[in-house]
This record gives sequence, structure tokens and C-alpha cells, in this order.
Amino acid sequence: MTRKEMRKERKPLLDWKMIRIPRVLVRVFVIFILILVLAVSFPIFLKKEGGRFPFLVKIGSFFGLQASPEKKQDEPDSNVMDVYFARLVYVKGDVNVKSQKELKFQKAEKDQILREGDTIRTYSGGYAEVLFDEGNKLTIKPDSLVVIHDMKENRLTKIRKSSINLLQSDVEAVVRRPKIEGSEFVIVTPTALAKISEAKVAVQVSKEQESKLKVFSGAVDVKVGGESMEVVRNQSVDISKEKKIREIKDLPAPPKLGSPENLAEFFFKNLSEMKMVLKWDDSLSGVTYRIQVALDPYFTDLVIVRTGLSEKGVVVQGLKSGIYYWRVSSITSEGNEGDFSDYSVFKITIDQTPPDIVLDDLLLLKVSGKVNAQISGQTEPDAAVTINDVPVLPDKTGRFKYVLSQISSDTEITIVAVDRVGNRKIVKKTVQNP
Amino acid sequence: MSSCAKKMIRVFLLCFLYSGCGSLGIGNETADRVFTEANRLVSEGDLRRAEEKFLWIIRSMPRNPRSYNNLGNLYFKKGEIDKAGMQYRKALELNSGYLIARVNLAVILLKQGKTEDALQMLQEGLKPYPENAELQNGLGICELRRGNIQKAIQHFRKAIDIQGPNPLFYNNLAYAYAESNDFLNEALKLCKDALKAEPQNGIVLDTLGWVYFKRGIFDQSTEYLRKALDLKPGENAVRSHLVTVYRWIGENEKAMSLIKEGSRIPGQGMP
Repeated sequence: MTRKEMRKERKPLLDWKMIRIPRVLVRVFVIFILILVLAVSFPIFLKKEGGRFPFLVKIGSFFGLQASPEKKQDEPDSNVMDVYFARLVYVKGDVNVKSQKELKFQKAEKDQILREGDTIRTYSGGYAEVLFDEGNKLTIKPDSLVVIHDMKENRLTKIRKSSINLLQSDVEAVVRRPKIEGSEFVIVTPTALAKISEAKVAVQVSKEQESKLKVFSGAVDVKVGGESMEVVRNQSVDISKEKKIREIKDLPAPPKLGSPENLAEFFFKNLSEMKMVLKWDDSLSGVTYRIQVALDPYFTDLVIVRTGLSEKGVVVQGLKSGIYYWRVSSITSEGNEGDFSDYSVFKITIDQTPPDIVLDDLLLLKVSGKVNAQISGQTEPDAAVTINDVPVLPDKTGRFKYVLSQISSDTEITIVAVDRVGNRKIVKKTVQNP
Repeated sequence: MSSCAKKMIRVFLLCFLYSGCGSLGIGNETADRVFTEANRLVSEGDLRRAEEKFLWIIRSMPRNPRSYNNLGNLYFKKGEIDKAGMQYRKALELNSGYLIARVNLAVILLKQGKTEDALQMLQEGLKPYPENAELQNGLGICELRRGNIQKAIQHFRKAIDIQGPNPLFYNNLAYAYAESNDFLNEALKLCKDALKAEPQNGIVLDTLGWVYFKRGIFDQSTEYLRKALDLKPGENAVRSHLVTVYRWIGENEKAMSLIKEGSRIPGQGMP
């Protein structure tokens, strides 16, 4: 039997002739598949350099299909801007925020996200600090109205443009060096425009729409009317409501805080005893000083403000127990006040409570027929301890231990703890039947 | 055998031995493959098998300093500081210009409290390579330990100047600023930048918390120090920082419970 004959001999598993599919159904199915393939592949082909498959474009346009408007990858639109956000990192007192879409001001919340077009209003005693995405910080003082105008980043160049508009305001801005060259932070007042790329500035806009700009570090490009100028470190510029530069003044550099050193602790037995000296260094002469002592690092809760100080030090009295922040600024004889010094922190403790003594169980040890007693316990950290007039050094946590040798029946043990301000606690214990 | 044939055999043997791996018949390719595998095992945490591989490479190629250095790293990871130090020393004996081993050995010496030896070790390395950022950073750490904060600041600044942005160098400079009680705003910026690059780095979180303490911003300070301690519960320095902050703000109970918690961890003393 030849191979052909063998093949003919083999019976098919399924006789296809048995299944009859209507021809129309087959045609419809083929057309459907073709349409499906075209629909899927058409946009993909078009994206590839647009003209690689021109025939498909023609077919597509014939059927009314158009290439997707997506741009070519190597030619992004240089004008496409992404919007970014800012955050309210500190809010104190009466501070309200109004978003662009809303008509009413709402109470501001800490960590609230701020967007383009948002307006922040602080009332008397109200403070707010805004942290922009790139690390720039804006401190808004009481009775201010600030509008966040722009917060955009160019998608291609990554250059960022931030701008805020000030109406009647008192603000401070710390602008960091931009990560991308060309990025800028702009403050717009009714009479001037200040472009900042890296600086610390203070801007005040009065009720009469007059502006005052102080530059504490870096430099700022200021545009007033058609005029443009650079204001550098420790300079201030006054701009009239008629958009005219009144004058540029030099500001004194901030003093450097001396003593007490940062995070110093002071202990007093009574409030009446509380007295300390705050000192600072300054190379300038003919200036006076303003000192501020506050309960918070933002200097919103001021407890002491003294101006016109001619000495480089001041005596402070009557401060209650608490943590305090202090800083100093210099003021020239013409009344121009420079930037405040960096602040320092100190702590006051008015302590009238004697240190507590908690004794462990007495441990009696017999050594060669004699009895020794181990006294251990806990007192305040830093308290001085004596046991039967022998000084015992407690550890950092206030734990102490001492072995009293050769004790007899009815031996009295006197433990005395004296804290830093002299409060004294005495505990007596008698050893019975050792 | 003719004298010519003898010479040829001698030359052949010399070449074979000079290759350093002839005695075991191992090629460089095989060694590289095993080396890569050992490093992979280290990264996967299979330190026992990795150690076997490194020891095998060292037996096969006893004059390769890199193997000793990596074995040292493995021992360091296992917490066997002395053994790690020995391996780094061997690497340096083979190649005194091998900077990585030098810096690693200095780290070991610092861990052992031998600050002066570490300083000397790094200064020797600095003579031929004055512009090496790692050495500058190491010297900064040594000076910080010795209490020469200003010198430490100079070294850390130089390391950053040489290498550019580096979270570790930023962290170290920020810590030095905090210790000097100066440039604290700059320290905050550096820490935040370092944290952006390494948000789960306990050391950076600790420094940020410590800088916030120095700034008197205590809620942030305790928040970051807590995070740091969660990531590094066995790190005495972090615990000590948090205890200091709690005590300073008058939260003595929290400080005490931290101390007690620390004393329960093996190898931890009182902060």
C-alpha cells in the first residue's frame, strides 16, 4: 500500500462537512475581525512618527478618523505647566483662607493645602506660616491679606514660578536657592514687584498702599513703575503709593546671641528669686537694641519686649516656670531696624518641692559575724544625697546605693536629698534586730 | 632532559605560579563568578553561605584584597567587629592604597572606641588622596568624636564640596552644626534634604530630631526621634537623644520608661 493510499484509508476524527456554517455568517465574522484589527492598530501606527504608515492615515481620514492629538515625545510643548501646592504649617489666632472657587473665608487649619488663587487673611494676633513645595517659607503676620497667585512648574524645563500678591500686609519670606536655574519667587505689592531667587526678606504694605521691602540676606530685583533696581543684604527700600522709590537705607546686621547658651536650664526656689541676664555681641556702635522673649519659636506669644536698649545685655526678672525663646535686633539712630538674630532657647524651673526619696527594702548582709546594711533607692535626678552624713553619688536617673557597715540594733539611718535649688527632704529609718 | 627543555619547564612553572591561582586551577572568570554570587548571598542575607564562598575565593586567590574587604563587610554585618577589622587589615597589607578597606577599618576602630587610631588611619590615606570625600567624611566623624566640632565641620563641608549632594555627608554636617549650636537653620535644611533621599534612614531621622531639639521645636523633635528609635531600637545614641528631650520638656516618666526599655535590650547601658 502506498502512502497516499494509506492516507486515504485513514478516517478523519471529525467530518467537517457535517457542520454547515451559513456563508453570510462567515463574511460578517471576517469583516468584524478586520474592523477590530484596524481600530486597535490605527492609533498605534499613527503615533509612530506620524507618517510611517501614510496609507493608514489616508484610510483613517477617509473614515473620519484622526490621529490622537498626543505630542511627539522628543518635542514636548515648552509651555505646558504643572501646578504644585503649598501647605499651612503653622496657624495661630485668627487666620482664614478663601479658595478661588468659594465666596466666603473659612477658618484656616494647620497642614491645610493651599492652591493657586487661594487668599489667606490674618486678623489681629493671627499668624500663619506657608511652606511652598520647593522649601520656600512665607510667614504672615497679623492683619495681612495675601493671595497666592502662581504656583507653576514648567513640565519641560522644571522651572518654577511662584508669586504672591500682597494687599495690606506684613510678611517675611525665606526663599531657598532654586534647584533649577531660572526659578523664581515673586512678591507683588500694589506699588512694586520683587523677584527673589535666594534671599530672606520682609515686606510691609501699609493701609495707604505704601510698600517697604527689607532684604536681610541675598539680593532682590525690585521693579517700581518702569524703574528696576537691585536691593542687597541689609538694605531697605521705601516705595510711595505713587510708585516712586523714596529712599534706600542701610540696615544694621543682626547681633549674635551670647549667654545663656542655647538650651540652658535655670532653677529658682521662688519667683521672686528669678533673675537672669541675657547678653549678646555686636560690633556696631551707635545703635540701640530690641529684645523679644517669647513662649514659642515663632515669637507670637511675646512675654517681654524691650526697645531702646543701649547696653548689650538686659536683666530679666519674674519669668514663671517654662521654656522661653529670645532674640535681639539692632536699630540705627535713624530708626532703621535690622533683622533679628537667630533665636536661642532657655528653660526656667521654679521649684519649691523637696525631692522625693523612695527607699527599696533594706538589705542586711552578714560578713564575718558583722552586719552590713545596703540602702538603695530613688530620688530626683541631679539631687545630692547623703546617708548618715556620707555623700552618695546617685546615677543620672537619681538611683543611689550605699552600704553601711557594722550596724547594730536600733541603728538609725538618715537619708538626706537636696535638689538644685536647696529644697531638702529627710527620711529616717531604724534598723531593728539585724 | 636537555637543558633547554628544563628551562622551558621552569619558565612555564613560574608563569603558572605567578598567575596566583594556578595551584588550584581556578580561572579569574570562575573567581569573579563566585565573588558575584557571594555578594548576592550577602545582599540576600545568607551570610553563612556567603562566608563559605569568600573563604573559598581567599584560599584560591590569597592575594586579592577585595575578597578580604568583602569578607570584612560580611563579618561587620554579622556584628563580629574584631574579625571584620582583621580582614580589613589583611586587605590593607596587600594594598595600602585600597581606600575602601582603609575607610572600613577606620569605622571599625571608631566602633571600638579607638578614635586616635582611626584618625591616623584616615590621615595616612589622605596623603596620597587629599580629594577623597569618604576620607574627609571619616576624618569629620573622628574630629566630632574628639570634640573638635569646628574641624569636623570643615571636613564634612569638604566632603560635600568634593562629592556634591550626599545624604550621609549632609546628615553628618547637620549633626556637627547641631553640636556647635550654630547654623541650625542650615542644619535643618541639610537634614530635610537627606531625608528626602533616604526617608527610612534611622540615622537621618535621629539627626533631624536632634536638630529640632536644638531649635526648641520639641513636638517635631520627639516625633522624629521616636521614628528613629522605631527603626533602630538597639541604637543607644538615638535612645539617649530621646531621653534628653523628654527630660528637658519635663516628661520624666517617658524618659524613665525609655531607659528601662533600653536596659532590657542586650548590650545596652543606661543612656
